[in-house]
Amino acid sequence: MRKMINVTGLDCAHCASEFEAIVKGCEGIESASMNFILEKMIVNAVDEKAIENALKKAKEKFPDSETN
Amino acid sequence: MALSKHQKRLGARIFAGSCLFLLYYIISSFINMPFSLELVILSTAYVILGYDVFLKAAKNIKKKRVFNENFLMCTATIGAYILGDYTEAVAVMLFFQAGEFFQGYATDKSRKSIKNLMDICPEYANIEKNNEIIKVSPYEVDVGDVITVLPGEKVSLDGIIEEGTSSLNMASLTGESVPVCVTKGSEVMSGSINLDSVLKIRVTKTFENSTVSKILELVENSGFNKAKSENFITRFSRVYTPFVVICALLTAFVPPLFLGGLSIWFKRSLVFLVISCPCALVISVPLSFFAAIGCASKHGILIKGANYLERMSETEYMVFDKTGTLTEGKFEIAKISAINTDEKSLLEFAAAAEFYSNHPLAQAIKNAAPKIDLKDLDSFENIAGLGVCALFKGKKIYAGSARLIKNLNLCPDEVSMPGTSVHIAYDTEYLGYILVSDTIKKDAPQTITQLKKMGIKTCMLTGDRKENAIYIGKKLGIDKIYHSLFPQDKVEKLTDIIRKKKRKNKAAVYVGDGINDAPVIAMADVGIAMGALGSDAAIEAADIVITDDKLYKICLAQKISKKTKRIVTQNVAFSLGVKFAVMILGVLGYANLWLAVFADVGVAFIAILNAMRSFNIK
Repeated sequence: MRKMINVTGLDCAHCASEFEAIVKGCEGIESASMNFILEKMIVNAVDEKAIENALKKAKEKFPDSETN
Repeated sequence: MALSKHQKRLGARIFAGSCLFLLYYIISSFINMPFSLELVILSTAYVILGYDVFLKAAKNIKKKRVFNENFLMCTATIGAYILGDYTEAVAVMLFFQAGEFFQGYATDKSRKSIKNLMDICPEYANIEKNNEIIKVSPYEVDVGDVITVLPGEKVSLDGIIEEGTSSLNMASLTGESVPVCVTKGSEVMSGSINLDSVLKIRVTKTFENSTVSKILELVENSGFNKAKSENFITRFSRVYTPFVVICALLTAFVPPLFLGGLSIWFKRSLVFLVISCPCALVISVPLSFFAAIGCASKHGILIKGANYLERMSETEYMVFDKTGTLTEGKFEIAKISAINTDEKSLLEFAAAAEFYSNHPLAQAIKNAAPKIDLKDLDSFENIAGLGVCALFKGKKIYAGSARLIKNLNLCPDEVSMPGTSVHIAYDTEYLGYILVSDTIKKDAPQTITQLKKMGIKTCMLTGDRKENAIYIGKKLGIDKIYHSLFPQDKVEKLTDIIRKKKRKNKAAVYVGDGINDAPVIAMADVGIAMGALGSDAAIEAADIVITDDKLYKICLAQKISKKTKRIVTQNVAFSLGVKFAVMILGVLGYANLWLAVFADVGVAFIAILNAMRSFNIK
């Protein structure tokens, strides 16, 4: 399934790419692409749960970030 | 431009810090600065400028994120403090924060400009209920409903005008500000602005399927198709920071082992820490592409991703469809050559055969012919690539190419004049042909000339016959002309062209109207569909959608892609060049800390400004 997520609170583009890398490396995630300028990320995953877990993991490293 | 609260506070802190810094220099030029005063003024400035950097660094350490700019900046400035270089510590913090401020400003500004593009979205629709006009959400309007659009309002949904005559401003869709006149029966697109008088429009597509939604979706999604440069920079930046930190450690500890002077080398290693964040570089690349895509969409050129824009800059071959792309696609009767019958009857037979055909050729014939009595007409068959066939007054009538006539074992006349000939056969007899000609688009000649000036090889693919293809091709100056192609031949020919490319990363670009060349568009390295807002299949298959039929936009797209690629290359080369130069100077002892930060921030400043230039290419 494909989902577009708003991601705010990331300081710089470098952090955004790290965030994207963490999500990409999570189980069940087929692909993830972050658009830092629009503050949005597109994720392709096997199910909603995989996306939730991936976001949780990424937010652990970036506590100031918010997703919805 | 309005700044956020955080930005305003940062700005104030930078100002306060700079004032204190300046104060220090002014005082010390008059008197011999006592140590305690120096410490107090500079430390205050330092804390004002840097307290949030320390907080963020502390938070990140807890999360085990060591290689981030906050931590590295803190380390560098604390190092400077330890060495007693208080001015350097303050200067580093000052320039760093100024850089952050500017980066935030540039990002916000580009976000706002993109949001302005999204501003073409209509927020409401007017529906007549109980003799009153009420505002509803465009999503609530159904196909078949009638909406009212007052002068000055946006047309909120695609539809056909039921009542009213006015003119529309289509600039938000095509970039053309010349008003378009519309009246009863005209098709209108959502997003255009009604100029003169009230229009009543019968809706043909729901809001989700409307033109404006399609455009917004395209622009929004375009940010996710990354260019090769973007991916390269992202991968590079992940390696860069650890690399620089290792250089710092080596510089701090290795030379002293052999040469001594720990504090000197320690100071030099701080230079590495200060330039270790590639953030400005990482943001300037996507920013350029994003700005370029935004700029293009202002002109009605919708690019589905930065990768396609990047690919376009490497165009070697530009392949055009003929009818409807290089030509207007509107046909007019040029000559009627009748054998065994009179001209009027020939026209009637032709119109009968073409009655159910949607081809523009058919339209031209039907417009000129006398009215057909439908009772006489029966069955209709489209013979792919050859023509049509129908039953008229009980007998079979064929209309199409010379090949169609030959397949019936009849002898079609030779047509020597340029144009498309529709040969007619009725009940085993060849009756003659009607010559229909199409006009070359007004901007086609300059477009081809411009492309050739850019060093691009031009080709034409058409199903039309040789004389026609060569006539038009020669007139425009097209390098290679391929004619008499069936639809599947077009795909094959394009494949051949792709194979002929000098290098794999060069691009073969195909331009068509998308209606029946979707497979060819999909096959090209970059597929461009023109005037394609009506066709979903074309939008799906194409990588770039041009909302109207102006050929010069192809040149504009080429210009935008080349300029953007140049800007990106400039930024990458410049940023990396300066960083490495500073590193070398730092090791040799010629660069002190704040020179390094200044260079770093200055370069970031220039890179970001340069990137935003992509928004204004005309």
